[in-house]
Amino acid sequence: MLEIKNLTAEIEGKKILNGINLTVPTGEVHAIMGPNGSGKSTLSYILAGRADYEVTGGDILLDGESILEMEVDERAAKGLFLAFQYPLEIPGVTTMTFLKAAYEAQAKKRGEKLLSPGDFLKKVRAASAKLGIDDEMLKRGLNVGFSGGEKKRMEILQMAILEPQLAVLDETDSGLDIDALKIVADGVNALRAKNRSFLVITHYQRLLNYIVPDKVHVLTKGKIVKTGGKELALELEAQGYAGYGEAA
Amino acid sequence: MRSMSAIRTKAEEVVLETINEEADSAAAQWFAETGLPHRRMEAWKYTDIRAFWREPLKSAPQPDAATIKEAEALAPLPESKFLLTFVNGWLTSKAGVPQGVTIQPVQNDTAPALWDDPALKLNAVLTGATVMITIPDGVTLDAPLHLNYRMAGAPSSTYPSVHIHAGKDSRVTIIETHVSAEETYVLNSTLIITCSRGAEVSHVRVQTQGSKTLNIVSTDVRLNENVRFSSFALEEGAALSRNQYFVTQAGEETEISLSGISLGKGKQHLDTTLVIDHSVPNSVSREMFKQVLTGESHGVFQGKIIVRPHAQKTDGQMNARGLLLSDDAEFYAKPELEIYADDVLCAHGATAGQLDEDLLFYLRARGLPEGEARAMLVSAFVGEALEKIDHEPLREALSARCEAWLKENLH
Repeated sequence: MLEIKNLTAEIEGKKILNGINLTVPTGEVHAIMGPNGSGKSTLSYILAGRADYEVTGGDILLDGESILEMEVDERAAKGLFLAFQYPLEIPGVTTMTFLKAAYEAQAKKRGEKLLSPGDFLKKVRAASAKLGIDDEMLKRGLNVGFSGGEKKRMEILQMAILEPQLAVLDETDSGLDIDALKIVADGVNALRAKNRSFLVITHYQRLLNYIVPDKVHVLTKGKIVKTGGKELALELEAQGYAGYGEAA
Repeated sequence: MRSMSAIRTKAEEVVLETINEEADSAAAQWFAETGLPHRRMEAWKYTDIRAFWREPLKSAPQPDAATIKEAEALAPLPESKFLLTFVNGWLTSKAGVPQGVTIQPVQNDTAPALWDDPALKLNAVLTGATVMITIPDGVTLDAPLHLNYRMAGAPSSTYPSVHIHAGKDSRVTIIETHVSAEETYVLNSTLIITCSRGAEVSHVRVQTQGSKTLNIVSTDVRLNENVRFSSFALEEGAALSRNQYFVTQAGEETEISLSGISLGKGKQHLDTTLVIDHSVPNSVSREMFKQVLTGESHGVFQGKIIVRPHAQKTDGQMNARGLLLSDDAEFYAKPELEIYADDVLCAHGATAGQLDEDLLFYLRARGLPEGEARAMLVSAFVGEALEKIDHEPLREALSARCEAWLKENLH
């Protein structure tokens, strides 16, 4: 379960989050919708622990434990996964090497027994096949030369291998055509589970046709201004964010 | 220059005595005027040998059994079965010489000095016999030719000189390893590689000298038509190292690849300097050098590509990158293109930078602790250069050496 309590944050003296309160119970999918500049991406980076932002108040609890003082990698090992809006390219590190290093670092940190190299490979292959990722892509430098859709599929593959308890999807729909969007959404839906929560951050309602949320929150000017069911997304799509003190 | 040389350092005085003014007055005069390379010489402005070489060091005498034994304990890499060992500059053993290959000392190497460089010149006047190695036409060596240079015993300076002649259509891999004990030594070595028509030669150098050694290594490569030549250098040891290449392309349709990795720590000074002279048409040259600099180490890259008026259709690309992992590390780069032909494709890039914070965040967000994330990115940085090594066992061995260095030096 994720609990965000009265969270305020700024970057270079500029206030971006102005008291966010949000609870995502285990097993649920919540969406955060908001216009550009509302603080959506900031929230995702702060959850993951990016150092550029300064948390000035409030708390973030994962599984009842505050993560604010934890390093980025400790949060990951605790089960927090951020799917990046713009996944980075890492020339010289193959996808396979990257997956293995990430998996082993997390398992080690949690004191878990490692899968054998053979079993790990099987697991990666099975998850890749579901996402239409072939062996050749696994051998190439991570995300190097991949299309926008391929990069997003790679994020979902990483999520499938790392099995987080909380996945934060930062504008995973951006830059995707409808076919790519479906593949990615199917990948996410396949990972929905009783012991896993999702926080889906998006500007548009479109993604939520495929990843149907339990709750939708509207974020404007660094605050949650409304919370509702999945129908709230449709309402926003029809009326825009204008009703929430924002230009559309 | 003459007025400058009036003041000689103690080290220079000893070198001058070593030259033996009576036996070789021309050399003595040259050195008296020029002295050791120093910062007022354009090609040596970042690497001042005169300032660095303070200790007067005589040329190493022929090593005794104890020194050879000490030298043998230094092992940088698995040795090839075709192995020539030089202890303190003296050829002390040869093993596994393939049939047809000749190895003989030559008092005056007839190969004319093509380059006016003080380190080459100093080697020429102070070396004993040049070891001439001839690979016959059409021969493919099944094991690399390993030149194993070791320095041990009392502090000394050494000036080995080797000339490899690769016959027409021959195939050879050359390994040079440089190691020394923890004493003050100077190595000033020259390797001339003459590649006849159609030869394919790859050269790998691994420099892991002791931490007090001054290492000046010159490679003079001459390429005839249809030659493929590649060279890779790992620069890891020495207090100061200058690794310089002089490549002369004298035949058409040649392919040249020079690459390397420098791993600097402490106060090390690691300099890679190269000149590639394209004088005939239709050749390709590629250079890629990566320097990882920690502590207060300094890296230098100087690369010059000359394309002479006749050398149309030359395709040259030179790339040098310095990765600065501490506030006190420094990287100096001076890439130069001197182009006198109009139909050529040449480019160079030289950059210095730090690890990308966004990439680090990405890796850490996947669970990699900071040290591991940094090591992975540095390893990817050097990996691009390691890929240039064709010989797979060597590539793996050097890859492992780099990994070990990163593990030890990145936190």
